[in-house]
Amino acid sequence: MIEANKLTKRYGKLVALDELSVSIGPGEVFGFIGPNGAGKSTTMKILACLMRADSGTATVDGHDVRTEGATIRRLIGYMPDFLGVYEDLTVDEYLQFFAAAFQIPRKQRKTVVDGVLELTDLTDKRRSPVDGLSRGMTQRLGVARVLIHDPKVLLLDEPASGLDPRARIEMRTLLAELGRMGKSIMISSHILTELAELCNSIGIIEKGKLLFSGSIEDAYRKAALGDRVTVGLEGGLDADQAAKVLEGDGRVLRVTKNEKNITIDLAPEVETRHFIVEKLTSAGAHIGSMRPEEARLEDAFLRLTKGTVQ
Amino acid sequence: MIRPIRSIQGMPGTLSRMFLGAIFQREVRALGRRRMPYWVRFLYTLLLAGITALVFFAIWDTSSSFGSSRQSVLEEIAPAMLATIAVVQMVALGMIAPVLTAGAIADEKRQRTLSTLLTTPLTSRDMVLGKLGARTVQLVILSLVPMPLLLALRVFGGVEAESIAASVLLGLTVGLLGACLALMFSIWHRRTPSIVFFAMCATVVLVFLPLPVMFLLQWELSIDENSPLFKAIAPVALAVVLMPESTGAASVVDVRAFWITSSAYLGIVCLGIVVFSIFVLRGVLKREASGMATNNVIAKLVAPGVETESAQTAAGDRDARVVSDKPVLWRELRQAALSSGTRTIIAFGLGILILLVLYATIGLDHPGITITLLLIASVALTAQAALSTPTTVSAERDAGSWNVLLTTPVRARQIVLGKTLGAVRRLWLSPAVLAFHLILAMIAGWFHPIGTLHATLLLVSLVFMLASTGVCLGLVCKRGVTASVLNLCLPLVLFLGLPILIAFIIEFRFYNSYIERSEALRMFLMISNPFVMLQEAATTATADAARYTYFLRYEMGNSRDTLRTSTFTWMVFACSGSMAALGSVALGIAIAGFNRWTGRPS
Repeated sequence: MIEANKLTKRYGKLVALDELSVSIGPGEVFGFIGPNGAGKSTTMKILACLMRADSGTATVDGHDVRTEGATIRRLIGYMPDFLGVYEDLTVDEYLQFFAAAFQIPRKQRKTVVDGVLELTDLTDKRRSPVDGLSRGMTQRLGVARVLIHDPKVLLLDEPASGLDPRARIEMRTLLAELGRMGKSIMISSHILTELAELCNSIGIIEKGKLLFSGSIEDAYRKAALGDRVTVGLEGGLDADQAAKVLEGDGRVLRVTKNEKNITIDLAPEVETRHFIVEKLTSAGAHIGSMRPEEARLEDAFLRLTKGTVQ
Repeated sequence: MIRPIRSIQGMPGTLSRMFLGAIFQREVRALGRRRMPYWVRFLYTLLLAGITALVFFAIWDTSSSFGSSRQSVLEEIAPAMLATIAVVQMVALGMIAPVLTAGAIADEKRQRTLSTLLTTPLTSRDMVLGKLGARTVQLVILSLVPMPLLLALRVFGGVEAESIAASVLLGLTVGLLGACLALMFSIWHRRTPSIVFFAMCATVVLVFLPLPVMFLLQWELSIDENSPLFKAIAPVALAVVLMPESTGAASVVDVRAFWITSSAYLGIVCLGIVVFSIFVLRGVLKREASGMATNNVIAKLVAPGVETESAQTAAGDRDARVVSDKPVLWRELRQAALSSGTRTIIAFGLGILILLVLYATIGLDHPGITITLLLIASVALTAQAALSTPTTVSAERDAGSWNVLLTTPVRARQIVLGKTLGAVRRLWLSPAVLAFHLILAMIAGWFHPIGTLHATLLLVSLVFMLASTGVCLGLVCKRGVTASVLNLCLPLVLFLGLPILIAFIIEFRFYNSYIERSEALRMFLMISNPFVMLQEAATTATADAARYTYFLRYEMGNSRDTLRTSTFTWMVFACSGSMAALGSVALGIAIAGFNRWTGRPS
């Protein structure tokens, strides 16, 4: 659905995008991750036909962003990182405004507006002035606005930024629902745990270069990340002795010792954990607790990026 | 690192706050990093150099042609040069100061940094004085730009040092007044072009205010017209007294009386505005601290803790309107002329009230009232159209809704035309007040209907031109205030600078040639200036209204020939047509360059 090939964009001497290539298929929810200033918003603006790339090509549903902007605008719904709204309008008028802008026939507008209001749970606020909405409500209104013309592709730049926990959960549910509706979604966020739950695939970008693009499992593999298990010791062996028991095993990547427990990082693709219990017990350790943790996107992100901010 | 210096031993607290506080230091650094102050200085120097060069060569040619010696010619030129610099400085600094100061508080509100300042020990007094102090430094630099020339006038032309000081002080005090007013309006408004407009209007009113007050006192209380206070209090009077004829006749003591009282008047007014601004900003900060919105400050200060009716309505539900198929135009047409519909109605009512007071005191039948009103309305409309129309685009950029609009399939033509027509519609206030007066004057038989037609054509085309160029400049310039100032420069250059330049060239370069006698060229200069045409139309329609003859007598400038109504009407068509054509070209450029300037692929 989205194909970007060697996109390059410069702001003076600063290279915002450096031959970035990315591909997003139909119905795919793609998480775009990177530090501030990495080039996420620039990529989205180019795909949303708001900015021209200096070189490279990009297509949305087969249409070239440089020459077929008018067609692409009907196919995409873009939500910027800072959403400005017309403060002199009500929620209903605001959505009507964009329905008219997308040339939805007047007779259908009410039905369309009712539909997106219901989907975003804003029906009760339809007569409220836009400037009176809370941050969470405004973000919801932004999502309602991008859905008004039923686009195939959604480009959402930090849709959950500045939201409280409840509003963030609601936003995540809403986006999951949109994913189920079969829309291709490109979403950037700093809250990586949420992206891990929401996305089929991710792209990690730093200094304008795409460091990784693929499924989350592939990201863990590339970052050499496996599951993590924390074992609590109640006697028999101390943390040092227990660590020595496990350190030579090929399935164990590393063991971190604490006062009364050890944390074991398993090698990628190791799915069994019972050998930890067996080895420790046979060595005489009394295991009090065992807490497995799945690989985290934050860890993959930290390993794949150098942490430098442009 | 910015290190606030709270107080310096021996320096009064107010001055240390103004020139050494954290706000002052930040503002000076920020202004130093911006390009605008440097451009302003460059353009200001260019303007001063251009005008003084024109005056110099004009007088040099005429004086040297009479066979005077070089020294006597220099002495003759010097007072005229001084007067020119004084007047140009007064006008220019009065206009530049609001532009420099408009963003002082408004930018803090827009960037939401006002609440951050609340967490520091800085008070509203620190903020107002610090921001004003930084602008004062800029104004001082600007007022010293012509100093080398003024010193040359002192050395070679024998101009009194006190006259030089008076001319510099005149410009500086008027500039300071503009800065104080812009700072005050900056607390109330968010949009910098609106602040510039209101500050400029208020500066003009306060600079000229002592004159009508003086006449009123003289008329009502029979106070001696030779009273030095009356002569000297108006800053414009100081500009007049610096003119060559006055300087030649007046003694040094007279000039001293003028500059001291004029500066004292402006100083007191500035002080009052600063104190008022501190008071208002304190209220705004208190509201900000308590989490309330900062708009409608005056109402909240008058009745603290009580939400106004409009605020209550804003918080509640509204009936939804049906959006048309042209959404940009629909929205633009529904925006109020002022920040709210209630304020617009109040402003209109105030305008009508002023008219009624004028009718009661001067009389509807007074020949000067219609001409004066027409000219004031046209100047106000020009300033408003020039300054406010570029904000239709920049306000969307600032609000962050521009990018969202650009991702819709709405075409460039629809956006540009919608915004232009909306901008024109929002300027209805002063034409409506003027229309009220013209209708009354026509009904009473004191104004010929053809004059209304001429005035309408001229004003509509003028507003259309400025709205079109405003939208075009709004697209080109990233900062709204830059676009507004450039748009304001357009009528100044077209209708003031260009005719003056052409007149000078005709008068002094082609002195004895046939061009000097060319009535066609003179008429062309008249036709190309809508304000001259308006004045001619109003004067004739007022003078001949009672006779109601088909052929009115239009006396164009110095021409001895009179014109038939039909001829003058064709001239009005030509004038308004050329402005409409210029506006259309600007719209065409805006539509053609839309994608390029917005970065949107076609």
